[in-house]
Amino acid sequence: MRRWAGDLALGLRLAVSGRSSLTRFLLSAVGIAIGVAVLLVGASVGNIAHQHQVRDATTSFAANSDVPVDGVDPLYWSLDPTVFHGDRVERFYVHAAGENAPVPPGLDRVPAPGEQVVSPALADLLSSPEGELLTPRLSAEVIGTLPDSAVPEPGDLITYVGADASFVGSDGAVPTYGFDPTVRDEPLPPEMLVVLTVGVVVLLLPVFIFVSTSARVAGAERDRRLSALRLVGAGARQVRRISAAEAVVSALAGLVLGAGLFLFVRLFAEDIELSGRRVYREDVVPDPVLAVLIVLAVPGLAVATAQFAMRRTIIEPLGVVRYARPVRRRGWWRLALVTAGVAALLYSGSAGRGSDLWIALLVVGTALLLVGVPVLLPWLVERVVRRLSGGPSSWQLAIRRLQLDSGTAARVVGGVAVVLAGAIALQTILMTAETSLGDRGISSGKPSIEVLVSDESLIEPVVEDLSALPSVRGAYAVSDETAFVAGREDRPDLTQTYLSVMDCDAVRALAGATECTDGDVFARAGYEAPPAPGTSLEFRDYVDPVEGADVAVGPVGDEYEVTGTWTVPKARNLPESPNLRVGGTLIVTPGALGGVVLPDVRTMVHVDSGELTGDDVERIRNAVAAHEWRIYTYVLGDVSAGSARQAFTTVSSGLYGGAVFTLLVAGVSLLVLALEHIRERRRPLAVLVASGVPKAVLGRSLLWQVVLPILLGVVVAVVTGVGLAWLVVRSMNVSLAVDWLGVGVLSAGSVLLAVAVSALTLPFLRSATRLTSLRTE
Amino acid sequence: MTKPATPPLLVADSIAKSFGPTKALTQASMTVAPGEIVAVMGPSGSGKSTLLHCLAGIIAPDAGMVSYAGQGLAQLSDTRRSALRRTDFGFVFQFGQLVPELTCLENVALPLRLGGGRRRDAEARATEWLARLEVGDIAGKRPGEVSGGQGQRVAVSRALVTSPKAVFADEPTGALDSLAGEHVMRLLTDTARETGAAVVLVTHEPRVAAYADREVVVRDGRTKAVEFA
Repeated sequence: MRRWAGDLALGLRLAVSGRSSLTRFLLSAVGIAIGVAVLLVGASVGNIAHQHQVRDATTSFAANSDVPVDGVDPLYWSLDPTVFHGDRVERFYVHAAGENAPVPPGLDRVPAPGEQVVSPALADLLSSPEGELLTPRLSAEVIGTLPDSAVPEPGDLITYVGADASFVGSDGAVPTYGFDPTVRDEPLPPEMLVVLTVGVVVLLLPVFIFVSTSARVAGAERDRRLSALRLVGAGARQVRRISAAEAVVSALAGLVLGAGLFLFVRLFAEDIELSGRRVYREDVVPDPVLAVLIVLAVPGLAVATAQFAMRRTIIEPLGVVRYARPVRRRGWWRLALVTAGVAALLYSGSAGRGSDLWIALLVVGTALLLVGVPVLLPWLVERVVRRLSGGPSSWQLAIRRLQLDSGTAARVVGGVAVVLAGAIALQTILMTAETSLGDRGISSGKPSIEVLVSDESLIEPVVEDLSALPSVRGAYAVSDETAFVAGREDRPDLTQTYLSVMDCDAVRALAGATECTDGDVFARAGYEAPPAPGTSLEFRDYVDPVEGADVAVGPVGDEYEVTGTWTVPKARNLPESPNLRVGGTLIVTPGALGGVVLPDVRTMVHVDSGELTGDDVERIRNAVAAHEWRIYTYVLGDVSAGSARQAFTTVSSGLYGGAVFTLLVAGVSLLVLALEHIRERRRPLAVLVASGVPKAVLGRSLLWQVVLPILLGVVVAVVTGVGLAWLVVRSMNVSLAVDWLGVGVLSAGSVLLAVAVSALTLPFLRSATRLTSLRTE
Repeated sequence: MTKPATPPLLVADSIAKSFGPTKALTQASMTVAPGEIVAVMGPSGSGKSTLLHCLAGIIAPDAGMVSYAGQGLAQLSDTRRSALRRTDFGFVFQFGQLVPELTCLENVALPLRLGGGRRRDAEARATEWLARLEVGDIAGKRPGEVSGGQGQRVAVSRALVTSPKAVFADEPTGALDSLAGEHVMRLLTDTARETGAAVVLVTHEPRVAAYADREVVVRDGRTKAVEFA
């Protein structure tokens, strides 16, 4: 036991002694620390999500909570969100219909009319200069702040605004008799699952690969050291124990550093926003089981890698014996690994989206493909350099050197390539998801603004409020209505027609008609053909069943009353107008209806504006804010509505940052490797210089030795990254969108890194090749 | 071949060793008596270092037999041979045998610590040996910070710290100037004689071989004994 302890102690001593050992130790520890911090954040995701759900559930109204409960007065509420500078403000209007009405969680009492209780972030916003523009929409007196337990995310903007009794009869007001804090698990959308799954694999895999690679840096020196130990009597097993201890000490230091880094980052958890999401600091707690796994797995991986690196090496007292002649790398198992990954991803397309099998196939396929990069690269580099020859002296020196041993360089480059491949894949997937999901049909610059008016009496005031704004050319009321071919109860879906009722001013301003007279009817170009002139249409008012009432019954059992019939006149054709955002196939001026009573009128006031700049949209929202829950403002193509793009930019920036950082760490590995190479070959290099080889030739030779594997790595990474993205995106049924500029930047960054590493080695090369290097005493 | 009066400590009997197509030893035999200093001489590539490595149990011969204190080394496990190197043998090579990460003191204490000895005891003995070899003042330095001669004396200290029965020295002065080489050889042989350790000294320099009691010449993988007058 004491021998074991002694061996381990010696391993620890060797790990931190000497310049190169210390460099390797620090390099490994920092790399592992970053990995551990990422792993700990990953292990906290479950808790973050759970706590988010708990807080979300706290503010959720119970299922079936509109069923009256004896002794409980209803709380009427409606969610009437507004958007301010691109951020959504969750505005709940609440009205207690009695003293026994339930109080929303986090509130002491239901706010009275003219009062509101706001989330901390909203309180900060309202008290800031920026918030002044929001005040007209949230003008009620702030009587309290919501506790964290009632706000799902730190930055959430939430308010409970007291509404007066008139709110009870409004369309949106819903009665509730209680709150239910039960957490309901809702599955994530498949697109999000894909990004998350691939993201986790892409971010975590380099961690493991870096841990593995760092264990091999300065390996030759370690082998020599262990050989010296063998000479003075260390047994083969002892040497393995010492080597394991060397690996463990870096891993343990990395664990401690990583935990520190995690705790440091955790301090700023509430300030970090990713994809518009923030988390509470106290929620960033790793799952205990996963944390224990990390603590065990990281040193375990480091030891396993160190031992694996020695599998073809026999440390003998006289030095290091490699098994016979260098073993020619076999490609079949490496290609099989990649093929298996491709097969898993191809098969995932036929597994049910969102199913466990689908996720498992995505994870396995992505992991196999990415692992394939560092696995394939040494084989590929070996195959390529074997075929190379000729060229200038520097090229020849580099090629011959790589032909002798390309494995170490290829392995370190493998670490760079896997980061690159992962970043390209994730970026492409995000870009594709963003292209397919975001900003559908929205043109930037000129948003379409509509105000839904629930009460007909408000149409005029709303139109006046909006028209008074300098940025608004006009505001026009449009009522959308559905009419059915009379007498056809079957297939109402095929026999219904949509009408948009608006006056001639609106037709001219919104639909671009040059001539219009009240009584005109217009057919819209590019839409389905309207019913033929002379067709009799009826307007139906769907009603709640009332005993004894004389109602018609539709094919699906709906009961309705016919409020009036209308014969379709001859319609004039309207030119296609992209700005006309009304639902009707037919544009009908009021005079054309001939006094027919329309049921359940849904009126929108459309805003005709020029290009909106600055806070024009906010001012439009403010202009109608006084009508509170009675109106709802829609802004389509808001100048600040590109939230999907914003999220994409945020994630992309994070990815770039992560990729650049990992590339830099890999660059340091490359540098250490290059320096070790120079030190090892100091005498032969000095001999070359002594025999007249210019130092510039040696410098270029070193450059080729780094650049060649990097170039191959970049090619493999780009092919793997784009290929992986294509395979993953295939299962999302959307077409691939590649950000070639981003791919180019990342690839060029990798090559530049190689050049920078080579440049940094030049001073060392100069000092190593001084002729004094030839002296031994 | 002259047989020593006492039973031999080390015996190499008709050993052969090849590295791939290269035959390093074909028919090499020699014995080393306890406390005897034997110089193994020969031109470059004659197989003298291979003979030393076979005698020390570092490599196993393809044919023939090597024994230490009457026991065949081929029959010993790697663990046992490692233990033998730790306790009964000491090594001084041209370069590379000191661990660059450890201080000179730690290097000398290393065989004792690898054998499970306490650090304090091991370092106390190492300090004694460094002083004896006149390099006590560099105990806290790393091998890279000392001169070649000093490094070799540290290596000699390490070879002798376990009170070995045999010391194997392969061109111990090969990387030193003549003055430093003389100094190292004098200290090595004097101390070996004081402690009764046998020394197998591989060299191609007659001046170094002159420190030995007798000489064995290796040529084309075969040995030939030379008696001193």
